[in-house]
Amino acid sequence: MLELDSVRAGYDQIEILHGVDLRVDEGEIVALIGSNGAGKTTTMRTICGILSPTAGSITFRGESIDDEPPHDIVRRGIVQVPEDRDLFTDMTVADNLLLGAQTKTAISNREENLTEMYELFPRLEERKNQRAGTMSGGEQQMLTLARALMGEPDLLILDEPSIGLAPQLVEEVFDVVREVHEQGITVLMVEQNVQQTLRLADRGYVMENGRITMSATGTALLEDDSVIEAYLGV
Amino acid sequence: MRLVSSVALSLPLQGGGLGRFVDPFVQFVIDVVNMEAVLLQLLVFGLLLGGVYALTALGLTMIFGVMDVINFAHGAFLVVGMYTVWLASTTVGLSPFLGIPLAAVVLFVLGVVVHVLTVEPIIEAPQQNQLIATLGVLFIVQSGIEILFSPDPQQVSLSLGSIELGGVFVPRGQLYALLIALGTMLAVRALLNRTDLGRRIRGTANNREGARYVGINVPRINYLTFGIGAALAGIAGGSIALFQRFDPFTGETYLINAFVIVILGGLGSFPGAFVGGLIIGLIQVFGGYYLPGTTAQVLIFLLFIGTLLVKPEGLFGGAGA
Repeated sequence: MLELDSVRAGYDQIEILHGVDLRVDEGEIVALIGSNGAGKTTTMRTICGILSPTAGSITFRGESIDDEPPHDIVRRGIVQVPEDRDLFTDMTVADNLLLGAQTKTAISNREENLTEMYELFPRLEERKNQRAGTMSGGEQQMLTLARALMGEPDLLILDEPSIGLAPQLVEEVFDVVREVHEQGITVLMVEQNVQQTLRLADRGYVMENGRITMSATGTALLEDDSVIEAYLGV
Repeated sequence: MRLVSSVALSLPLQGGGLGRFVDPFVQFVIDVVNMEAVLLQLLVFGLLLGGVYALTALGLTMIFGVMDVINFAHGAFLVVGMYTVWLASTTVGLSPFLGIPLAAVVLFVLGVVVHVLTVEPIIEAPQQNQLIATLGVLFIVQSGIEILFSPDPQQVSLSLGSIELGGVFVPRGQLYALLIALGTMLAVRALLNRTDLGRRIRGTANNREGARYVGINVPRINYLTFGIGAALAGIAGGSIALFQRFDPFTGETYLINAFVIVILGGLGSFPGAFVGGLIIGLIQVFGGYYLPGTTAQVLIFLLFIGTLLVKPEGLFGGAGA
């Protein structure tokens, strides 16, 4: 479904990704793990067209997307939950959700999707007329997830969706990911809760210094000594 | 009553050099105490002017709110609006009231063209770049108009007269300009708050990165906003032409006041532009009546500097577009 082939990218003159190879198949949950500064977020930003690769190629369903602007990539069905959320903090919760729907089909289905989101996240319905910026971190994270789902993604990219959340909220985020996946949405996620993520994921990649250094099934990575030592703190 | 007038009479005696600047304020207070009829007249003039000022600031604040661009070309857009109405009226005899919507269309197109050619290529560059580029556009357009139509003042021949309401004169030209300004502001408000495009514009103004993540075509929002901002300047310029003579450089004065209004009200704020416009209009009218020469403009700049010192985010700053 999504394929990155020797992708290089970075900011200004500084290259962060030194040739990343990564693949996500239809229906999978794929995890990307690695330490801070390894280039995980840069990879996610490059897939979504916020950054352009300087070399290599990114294809989605066999078509090249590496020179496309973000809105065209969203139209193809790739929607991201960015690490810093990037909510419309001065606007209402309802406005944020409505803004999540930008493609033709997402706009025509948005009333039903809105109802669905309010069922999935009852807190958001209670706060629909409240400014997004006034909500708690957990509520904001749920809103970011719901906003992305309003875009009817085929591939949902999650960049640290549980960052800074209390344990029971982390659980809630993982529940949502599971539910979303059951509805047939493919998931690519970056997560710091390595153990939980790898248990959920079909496959995982380990990233170090802008390169993929390991790739295996989630369970195989969970049992790998170097992964255990570096990321599971045992 | 008599006591107060005797105070007024004694004023020149106590006023030395400084008195020239203090006396007008004292006189103003005396007039307020006496409830002079002139105050009501000045208030009406101030509100009439303020409404139009608010409209001149609206496009400026909108463009800043969405893309953080300080658009000096706005002054040129105002002038093109004035000349469009004038040209349509003098050449094909189009009524200025139809010339104003025409100016909106002309300016929308001009705004999009200016944006695509000068702003979009450097939109990611630091702010001073767009400021200099749009200042260049201002000079080019002003000179272009000067070459085409001479630097002489022009005026739209309209004898609208005025209405009198309870001893207060309301010039029809200014009244219509105010009504057009109010109507336009309500329309823009409805566009922003009640349409999908408006929601996208507000979203892009609030968080450009977020807008890109959800799939809003941000470059398109940019040029549409620039076009709408320019169209608002066209309507403002056309309305000003209803009651004032103008030359290729009239836009500059309005531009400077528009900047003061935008800072006073809060960059990117709509209610700010409206309230700021009224405040500046009132200061200009009252100042013009009480203060010597062009001291009113000094007062406006003092207010500008004071805002930056005391409340740099402006009256309605930080609340979004």
